[in-house]
Amino acid sequence: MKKYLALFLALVMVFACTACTNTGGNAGTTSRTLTIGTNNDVTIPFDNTNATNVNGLGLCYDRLTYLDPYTGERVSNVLDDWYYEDNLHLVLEIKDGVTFTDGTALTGEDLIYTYSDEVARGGNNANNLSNFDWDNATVSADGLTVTIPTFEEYAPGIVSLNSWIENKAFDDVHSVDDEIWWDTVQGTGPYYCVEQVGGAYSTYALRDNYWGSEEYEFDTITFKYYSDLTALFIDYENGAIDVALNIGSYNYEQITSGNAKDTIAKLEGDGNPISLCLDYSRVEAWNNPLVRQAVAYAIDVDSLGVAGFEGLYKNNGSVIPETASYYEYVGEYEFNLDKARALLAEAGYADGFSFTLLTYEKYEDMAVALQDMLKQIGITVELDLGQFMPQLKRMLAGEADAIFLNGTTDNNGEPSLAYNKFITPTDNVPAASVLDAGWNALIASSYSLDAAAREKVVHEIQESFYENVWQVALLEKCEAWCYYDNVLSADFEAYVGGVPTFRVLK
Amino acid sequence: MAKYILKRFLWMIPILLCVIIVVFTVMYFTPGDPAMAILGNSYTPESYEAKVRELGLDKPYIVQLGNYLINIVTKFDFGKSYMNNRSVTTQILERLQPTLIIGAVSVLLSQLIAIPVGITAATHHGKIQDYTVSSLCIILAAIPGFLLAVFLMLLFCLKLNWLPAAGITNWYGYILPIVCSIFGPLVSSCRMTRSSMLEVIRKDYIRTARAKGVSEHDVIHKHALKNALIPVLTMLGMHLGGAMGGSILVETIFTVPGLGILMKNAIYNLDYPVVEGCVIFVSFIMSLLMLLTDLAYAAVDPRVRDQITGGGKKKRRKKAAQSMEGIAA
Repeated sequence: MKKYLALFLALVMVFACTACTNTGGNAGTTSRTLTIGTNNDVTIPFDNTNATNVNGLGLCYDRLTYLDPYTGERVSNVLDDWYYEDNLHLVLEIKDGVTFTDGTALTGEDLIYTYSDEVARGGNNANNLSNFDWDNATVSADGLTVTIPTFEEYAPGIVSLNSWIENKAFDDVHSVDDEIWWDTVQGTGPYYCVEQVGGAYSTYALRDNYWGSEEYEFDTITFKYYSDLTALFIDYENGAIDVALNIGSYNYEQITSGNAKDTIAKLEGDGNPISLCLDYSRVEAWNNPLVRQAVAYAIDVDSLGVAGFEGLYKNNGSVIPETASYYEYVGEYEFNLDKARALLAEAGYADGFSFTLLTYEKYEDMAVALQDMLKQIGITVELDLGQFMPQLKRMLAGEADAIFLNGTTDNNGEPSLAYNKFITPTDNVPAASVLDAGWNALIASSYSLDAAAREKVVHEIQESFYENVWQVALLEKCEAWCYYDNVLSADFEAYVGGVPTFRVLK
Repeated sequence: MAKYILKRFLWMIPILLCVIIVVFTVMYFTPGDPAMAILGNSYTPESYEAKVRELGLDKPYIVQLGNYLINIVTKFDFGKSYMNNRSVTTQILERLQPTLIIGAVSVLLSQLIAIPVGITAATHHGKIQDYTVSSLCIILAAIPGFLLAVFLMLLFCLKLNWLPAAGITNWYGYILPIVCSIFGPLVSSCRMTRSSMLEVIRKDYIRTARAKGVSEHDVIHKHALKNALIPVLTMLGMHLGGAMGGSILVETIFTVPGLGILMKNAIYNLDYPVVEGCVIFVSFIMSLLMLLTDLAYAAVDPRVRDQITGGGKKKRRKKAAQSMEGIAA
């Protein structure tokens, strides 16, 4: 027994002498390695069906264009220019010398393949991409100019061409089932995947053969997965990671109140602004704009955000997310119960009315808070809560007086993906349908326009949505993230179109 | 012995077939729709129909079961994950190493500690050593595993900064998951060893051995321990089997990319092929471990060994025949 005890103590002492430091981490130094911790599983195959994956894809792939997070302008890493030759032909001019990870050159064939393949697969953006006539798209002799006919004048335009650019030659050889996609990138971006350990981490390194002239700060970027937020923040505080992509509201408040040294914390919208959608055909009151305005004034969005998302939210002031093209901040509704009561009385509902809110467990806390708020102006809200899938089916079948609806663009940037949910007839959710001919005509007019005209119409759409309260825009859930400001610059914007890229330029 | 082992292996085939059918049937009838789970907010009736066809969920139960069985039996193919389209077999094999390391090391260490401590408690029954061990076992059994894990994380990772809070990028990362995994098997094995030893050391043959002048060390370790170990071996087999399935709690808190967390995420995402593959794999491992446990019994207890090999009966018959011949001669 004594021998065992002595051995155990010896092991502890050896360990105590050697285990003085933690793993990785370079906080406090301007190293060329960046380690990022996240609560989202960072390890997935790099095949071309992963349309919405974040993290590594943003380092390794390029989209055709994106919104510059600093200027808000649409820019491109891979195009010299894009324009409409006439109303029905979009022309893309590819930069000379752009190459994929394996060194093959990017040509127009790759672009045509990328978007026509998404249509064939029925990807998230297939509907918008179907407006282009891919079968008759042409490529110049040098492969750098692509001319794409559209079925409608201008169509949704360049913003629709938003998928990760694929390498046709590589895809022709390797099917989506091929295990090679696990850690083999074929993108035009500056990084490639060095190693991917399922459920643990993925590491990316700068390409030796990168075609671009930009210099990037980090040679190696590692995304480390944490299934537990406590462990994530502990490793951040210990310096094992430089950036924590998901932190809880408690840690966010600690940092923003100055209790964390050298740390910057930020909120990033998840790109899914939530609206309270009202089925005009089921509840007569919803057809009265005064009633809708009353509901808007009766809702305290801050309290809703605390109840639903522990304070990690923002009111992005529009029906479409900030990451969408042509986003405009149009305003927020004032929280004013007296005004709400007056509007209801003017509408002839001084005694209030009742409706049923159909939603699922994810929004239960928010639903209960909303119920309490509307009770104060005499509106009785019955809650119909359930599991996500059965409730979603019921929403789509038109069984709801009101629902919470996400106005998402799926990180695509195409605004119509968000506001298309509010048209009639809708192919989506009956409760979101706006039964107004003027509104529907306005949305229809946002197509078949050039970019400048389209921007004007999309702004009008957002303003109309706000002024008429076609549906009640509420708030957007946010992710809180933080980083050491001596590792990344203080005004660093990691997210481009809702996707963290971490392409930090010198 | 070889015959016995072969027979046990052959028995594993129908057992695993039953497991496959039961698991598949349970997952088939479990509420939830994987096609909708995959599509989420991007659901449309058309995309849903396409996804159902793609996943083969539109086929009748018996057709799906038949295809699944044929793939497993002929190609050892558990299918592809609904979530990431990767082979289930590949994912299981990738996740196996961390689970094996943590499971095997934690069970081994727990037995290395539990058996001597249990023996000490039994041989000092009613004394301070016995009370100390019993009290410690009760305290450790009462502390919830997740609380212990978080406490260790706060102490060794946050306060002392000795160990990483998550991940297993080097051997440091294994320490806390192993320590958390030790306590369960340690407590139960310690208590089982103690009670089993207490029962054995009161037997007549132990008293006889002492009366013959055999040293106390030999009495305990040569005569008593072998007999006391049989129930401990049973528990060891169960602990190993449980460890091989992965501890969801430990793997989640310390982000160990093992089988436990793979299964947990698959259940959460309604990723049926991964759940089915993991359960079948763990069942196979459990069957193997039960066989090894039975063989361990044979190594420890000659009565069991004779029963398995049938050698006892043959020897006795041969001896009887020889003695009859001798008498006749």
